[in-house]
Amino acid sequence: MTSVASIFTFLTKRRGGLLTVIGLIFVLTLFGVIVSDKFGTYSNAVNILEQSTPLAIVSLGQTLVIITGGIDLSIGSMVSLASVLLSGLTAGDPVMMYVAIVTILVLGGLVGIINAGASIYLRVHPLIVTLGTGAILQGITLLYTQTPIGKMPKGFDELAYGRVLGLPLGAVFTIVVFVVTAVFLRKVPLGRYIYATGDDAVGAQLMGLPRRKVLFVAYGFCGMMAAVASIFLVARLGAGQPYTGQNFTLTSITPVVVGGTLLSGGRGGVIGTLMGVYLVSLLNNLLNFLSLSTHYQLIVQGLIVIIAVSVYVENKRKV
Amino acid sequence: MTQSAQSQSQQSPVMDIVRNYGIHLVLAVLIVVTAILSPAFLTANNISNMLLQAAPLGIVVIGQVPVILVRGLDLSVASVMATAAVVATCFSGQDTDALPVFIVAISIGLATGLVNGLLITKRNVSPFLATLATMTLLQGMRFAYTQGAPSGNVPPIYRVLGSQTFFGVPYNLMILVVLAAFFSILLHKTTYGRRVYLTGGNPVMARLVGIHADRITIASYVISGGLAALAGLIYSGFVGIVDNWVGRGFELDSIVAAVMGGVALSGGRGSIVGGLFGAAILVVVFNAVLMIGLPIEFQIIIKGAVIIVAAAFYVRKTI
Amino acid sequence: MLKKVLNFALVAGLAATSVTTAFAQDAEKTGYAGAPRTMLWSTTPSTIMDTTQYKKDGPYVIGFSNASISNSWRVGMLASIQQAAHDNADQIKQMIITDANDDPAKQVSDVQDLISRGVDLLIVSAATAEALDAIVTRAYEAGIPVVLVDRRITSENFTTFITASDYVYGHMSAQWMVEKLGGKGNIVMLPGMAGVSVAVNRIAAANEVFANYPDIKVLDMQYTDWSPAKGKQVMAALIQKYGTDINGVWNDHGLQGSGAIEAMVEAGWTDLPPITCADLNGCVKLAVQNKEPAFNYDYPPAMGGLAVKVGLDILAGKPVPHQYEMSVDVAITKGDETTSVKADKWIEDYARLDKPNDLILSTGIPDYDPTTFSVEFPQ
Repeated sequence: MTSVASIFTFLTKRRGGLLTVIGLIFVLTLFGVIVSDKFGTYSNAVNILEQSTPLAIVSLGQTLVIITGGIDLSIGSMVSLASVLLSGLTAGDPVMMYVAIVTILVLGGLVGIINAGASIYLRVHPLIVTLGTGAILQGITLLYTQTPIGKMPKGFDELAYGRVLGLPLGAVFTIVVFVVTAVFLRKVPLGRYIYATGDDAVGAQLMGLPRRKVLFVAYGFCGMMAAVASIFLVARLGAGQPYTGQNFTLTSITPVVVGGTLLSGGRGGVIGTLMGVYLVSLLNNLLNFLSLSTHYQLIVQGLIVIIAVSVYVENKRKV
Repeated sequence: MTQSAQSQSQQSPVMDIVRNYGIHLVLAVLIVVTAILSPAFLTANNISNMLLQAAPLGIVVIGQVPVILVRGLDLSVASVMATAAVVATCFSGQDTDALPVFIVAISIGLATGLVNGLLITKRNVSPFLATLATMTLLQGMRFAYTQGAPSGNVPPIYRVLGSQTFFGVPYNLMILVVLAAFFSILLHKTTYGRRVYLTGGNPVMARLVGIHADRITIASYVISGGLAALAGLIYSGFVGIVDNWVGRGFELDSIVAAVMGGVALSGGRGSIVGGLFGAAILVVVFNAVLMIGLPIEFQIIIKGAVIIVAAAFYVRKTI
Repeated sequence: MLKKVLNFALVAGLAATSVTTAFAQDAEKTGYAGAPRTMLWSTTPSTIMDTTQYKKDGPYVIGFSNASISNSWRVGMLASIQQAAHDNADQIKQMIITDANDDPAKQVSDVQDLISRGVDLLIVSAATAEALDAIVTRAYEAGIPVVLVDRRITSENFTTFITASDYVYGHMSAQWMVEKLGGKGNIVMLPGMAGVSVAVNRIAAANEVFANYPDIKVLDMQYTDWSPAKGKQVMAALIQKYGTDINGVWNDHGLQGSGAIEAMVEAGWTDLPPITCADLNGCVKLAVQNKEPAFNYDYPPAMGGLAVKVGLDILAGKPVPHQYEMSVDVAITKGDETTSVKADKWIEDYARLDKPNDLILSTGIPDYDPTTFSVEFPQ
């Protein structure tokens, strides 16, 4: 009895957020199956996985930044810019497509590095820096195009709708990114330094940990993931559009925090984020099945977020 | 000693001036440059226009400052504003209902602040997520109540307060000045104010001297909610047409204004007057780009750049 | 074939009559009640879609994927759809409505969800044309009839598109303003949002007209985010910058138009320059109250209801045009008609002085009030 209790305490204390999220996923699924016979089908499950790809990739990038104790609010504009550049540069040409993909990946990484650099050297809080760079990127996007632009070669939408072993291609790719990030965070020294930096920036620096390098890597990765997400978005949407990423700025943060990563940094992980993404996508899908108007959907979303995050207790807090 | 701390101790007198008067320099440069480029900028009417437009943002900033001082931020302010504005149209639209409108709107604001404060202190939810959740929740409730399309008239007295001037001085500016004076005194001359600074600046010390940090924090969010509601009422009077998005963008603008004005996101440092200077910069930038006749792309880019530059003038120990 | 077209035009014309006469008060100008103008005036043959393959017995399951209900226009459009579902409840087993909250990616998911729920007919109001193209194409190619409303997709892979033209708005409003100014004057343009198709198309069309007149000068173009408050702020600044050099105020919508009128009134202007409005009561109401020459051309939310009716025609196997443009009343303030642009209605009669400024006109629902509107329909 006591051992069960202690396991429970251990779980809720150490992994409370994650357990809550998995529990909520389970409850929502059960609820959905009861409410609609079309909800629990294989094709609907595949739908949800397929739909969650861009959000998952962006949120995985955001997770690293948040573990350092920072935040990236430029991510939405980065996705928009990358999406218009991708389809604009490609313009239907399969060869240019590869050039465009490399370009946006490099650009994404570079923007991340600029974000990190500005917050390190100007000593401005990342929230403000990335808000500023976000505005600048949006302006550049509008300079480049004010309308949806370009197109992708035929068959590019297979990236969004294709299947590998019956699973959506995007979902498989998401898992790959997830595993790589998880291994990096746990097994590679630099990955572990990300936690140390977020936990106690001054302490980490005193111990001689490469704080700047850590920040460059985290923000660079986040920017690059925004570019990757834009590839899947363009595959799904057919062309890049100047406001396509706008929603990701805030939606990319919710799964991270719901998944148990603290905004104050130092704790959390990508598994929670991934589950958070699936929870959010599942919730959106389920609300469609309920024929609830958006008005009530917003109320439900707000409540679920509050429930999910107030279950576990944070030891310290910051922005 | 860390590198950043070293650089702070080696400040030259020039850096000292920049650090103390950075925001004023940025504002002065903006004004001078715009005045040179556009003769219409420094006319009495245009200044009166800018002051009229500055008041709603200024009032929100006054509320945002104590929240940031206790290491928080309030993303729900725009949603509170819109809700208050909707309330303004929900009664008869006559002056006889001005008081009920006021009471209901302010109560919603105060209640939202209370929920934010309770979530943040009692459940240790991060301010970012707590206020994001109440923002969504309030938006959903507003939509559900209005069925998406608010309809009704704003009582004439709010139209006067929100859009008229008294010998060139806008009424809403007078309200702003009174509020700024009151809350500045509250923060700088009262026990509550000292506790706010100590709670945000040094939580350990605050606890040691027996401050109920939770109460101080909750009070800050309640103030922010109430002032956001007031700003919403005044803003509803600015045009007299209320939609669901009154105040959109104010959540981030108010935080940006505060940070540009030297209020540190790490808590415990900054003042209301500083925050109002930050708000002034945003209003001047908005007006200046119109006066100079810049296209929209550059308007956005310049706003982003000004945010980063202005915030960078405050040299901090750590990010 | 021709007979079918005419038949259709007649039916549609009758539907339009009930819509357009709702607000008529003036005996002289009661609004346009004829057959769809775009078909009458079309210089090319209309493409008529054969829908016999979709013919099946009801009652039907209809899916409507809405882009959002984030503004009063879209709320009005949804109301119009719900009203139509109510009116045709005998033929509809279930009307499933999803809402993408302005997120194209979510809307793609919504359409996927609707397809997997086996709808007989898909009605889509696309968040953006490009974003929804791939998924709607997939649905259409899988044999589901598709009715697009308000915003289309880039390809032609749909059965019919119900709309009113942004280009007509741009051309007509600009032509009216040019002629009202006698071909000479300075105009400020206040569009909604950079990079959003409504604004992009309307600006492009208006500029085509302005470009034909060398003495018409566009002083400035500034975006207003379709916000009355921002419209007022921007106009206030432009008044300081240009003063009474401004001879005309061109808006792509009434939302910012109402703010612009307020700014001019508060600047002490008495002889207000011509202004263009759309959809919103506030803009035309303020124009009437301040005796300002105004042009109004709505983009009627009633097209939602029409989409349901046309959709039911498709399921009944009746031929429908590939693009269906609703006839819209041109409303102009009394005495301000120009050589090319005549009024179907006077704005003095069209504006609802008794209603709040934020009311959206042209929903086709008599005495529509967004806050109290509610109908029963099969969900």
